[in-house]
Amino acid sequence: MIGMPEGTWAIAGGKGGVGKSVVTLSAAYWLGRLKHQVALLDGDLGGANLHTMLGVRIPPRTLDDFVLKRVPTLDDLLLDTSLEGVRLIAGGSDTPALANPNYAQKTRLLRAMAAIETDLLLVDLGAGTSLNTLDLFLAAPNRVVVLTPQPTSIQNAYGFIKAAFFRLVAKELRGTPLKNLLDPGQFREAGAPQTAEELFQEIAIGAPDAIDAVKRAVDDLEIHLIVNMIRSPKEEKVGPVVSEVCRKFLGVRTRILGAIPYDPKIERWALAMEQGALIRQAGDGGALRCAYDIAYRMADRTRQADSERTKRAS
Amino acid sequence: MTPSAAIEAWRSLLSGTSDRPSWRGDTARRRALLPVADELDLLGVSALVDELAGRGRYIAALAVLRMANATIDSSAPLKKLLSELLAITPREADPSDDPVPSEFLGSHRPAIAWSVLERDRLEIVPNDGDFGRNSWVISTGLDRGPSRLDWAFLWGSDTEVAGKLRPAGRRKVTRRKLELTAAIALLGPAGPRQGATRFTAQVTDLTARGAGLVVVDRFDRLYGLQLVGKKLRLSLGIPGRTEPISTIGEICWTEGDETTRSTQMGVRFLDPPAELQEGVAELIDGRRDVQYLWSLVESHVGRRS
Ligand SMILES: Nc1ncnc2c1ncn2[C@@H]1O[C@H](COP(=O)(O)OP(=O)(O)OP(=O)(O)O)[C@@H](O)[C@H]1O
Ligand SMILES: [Mg+2]
Repeated sequence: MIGMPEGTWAIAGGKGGVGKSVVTLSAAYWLGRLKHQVALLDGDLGGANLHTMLGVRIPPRTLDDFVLKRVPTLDDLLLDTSLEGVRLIAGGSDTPALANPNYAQKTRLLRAMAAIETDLLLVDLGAGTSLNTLDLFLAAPNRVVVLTPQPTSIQNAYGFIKAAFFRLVAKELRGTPLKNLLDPGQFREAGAPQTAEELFQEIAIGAPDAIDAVKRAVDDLEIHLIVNMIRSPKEEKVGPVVSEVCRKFLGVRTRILGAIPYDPKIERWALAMEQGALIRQAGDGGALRCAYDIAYRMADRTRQADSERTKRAS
Repeated sequence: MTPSAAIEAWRSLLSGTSDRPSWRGDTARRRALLPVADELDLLGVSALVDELAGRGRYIAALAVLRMANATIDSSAPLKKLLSELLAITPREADPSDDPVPSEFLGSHRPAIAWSVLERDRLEIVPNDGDFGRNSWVISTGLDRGPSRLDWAFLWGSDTEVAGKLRPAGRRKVTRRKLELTAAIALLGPAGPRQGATRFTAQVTDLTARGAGLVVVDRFDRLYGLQLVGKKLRLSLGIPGRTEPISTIGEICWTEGDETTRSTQMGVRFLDPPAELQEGVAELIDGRRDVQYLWSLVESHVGRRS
């Protein structure tokens, strides 16, 4: 496992259009304003568009250049943006190698991500639960799932967390008699375990040597939730509801990182950014105000984790 | 011993016509006790497995795989036989049948079943207890002491499955925890005690072939009744279905607990309808987490207009 700096944040959502990119950008905006160095990485390996949202039509350098080994490090790809203190690594243009990297490519990418010179690295992941998305998500020390109160979003967010949970356990089962337990085919079979408890029971029987490591990995997994596009106070409950199901059925800890109201001003803000306006003014109240709270918590948590790591190391 | 002679020896061992070896301890010891050949006659093993499974002797077929595994290095071909065995649809319930191997090994999935088989946890020891000589106790938990017995079956020339062992010893760990109740009606004369014919039970365990029940009311009425062998009608309300599913079963064992004033019983379904099979599948494989998610969303967030 590649050790990622504590300031690495992966932002996923399971479903498209829930506001992953807007949340990432607005958090980046505030983190920049708080004088942190921020790097954005467009981790939507199949359909990159973060650069467009930042007003960059044709990025001069993209992840393609790294994958095709035209540049040795990801720092070589950093582009300045209209957001103060925020730089961007633009996603590639549908290079098949990128949409579906092999193991060696993935490892090289993760190593390079760990080496980027920045305070915070925000990785905007694509929709869906492809293994690559799950692996990037799990590799980051901080993991965020963005969801909205829409039923499909709730279900996809939970489905994404569950898929990440199974992927994590599957990694621990490598080299054990149950190494195929969570293969996609087996996973859907009738009688396949549906909850952490059932899964642990099967592992305790079939691969007792692995059970401790599996439980430890799940204990260490923590996921942040951001509920976006809230239209009524009741809808804010979506966060605690998903948290409760994750706890009860998967034994996965989740924290609510923030809640963002539905705010038509976001569209205007996004449009201004897309037109390349130099963003200095956040506007008043609304979604961006909530994004400030989220950014503040992200910075705070990163600082805490960093100091804990230094303490452990000394 | 030649490979085919070994298989012949296994066959007679399994039909109870030879001396009974104790099949415990380490592999070396086991090999010394078992009729073992240096080479494995895979076709012979396969034929014997088929023959035994065809007679409903699934546990015996598993034991053959276990013995064969003790004699070779690569288990790959045996795993293939195991997955074929696990895919076998059990015959019409016959009380003298062995349990289906997937039940015995905790899963119908070869990877898990094999790991139980492979980890030397399938023990076969001669039974010198009360159940007649010339039989073996086969278990997956004897190595952890009798109190931790997960499963045990008797098997011998006159195979009598499970019924006489402690009920607690017959439960398998991977069954689902259920929060289900069933309405029960005892069929036929209940004896002199009034009101002992209808009661409600908690379903603790459910498969398409039978159920484990706990009756918490009517303790005084049920206690001491000769229930084993009695038939009952069981109506099961399955969440998400409007009509309860009803079927007839036979009580295989009971156990009263005076401290909790409850009666536990095991029921075998006599002619389970197809919808019960479906209902069980829904319950067991149903996405309980997603159902729970929706129930929480509905009560806390409400439906979105
Ligand atoms: N809080 C909000 N209020 C109003 N509109 C919002 C809010 N958050 C996001 N949006 C709008 O929703 C749309 C989708 O947002 P965004 O592109 O960030 O989603 P995404 O999850 O990144 O989508 P994709 O999966 O396609 O990358 C955009 O038009 C955005 O302006
Ligand atoms: Mg996006």
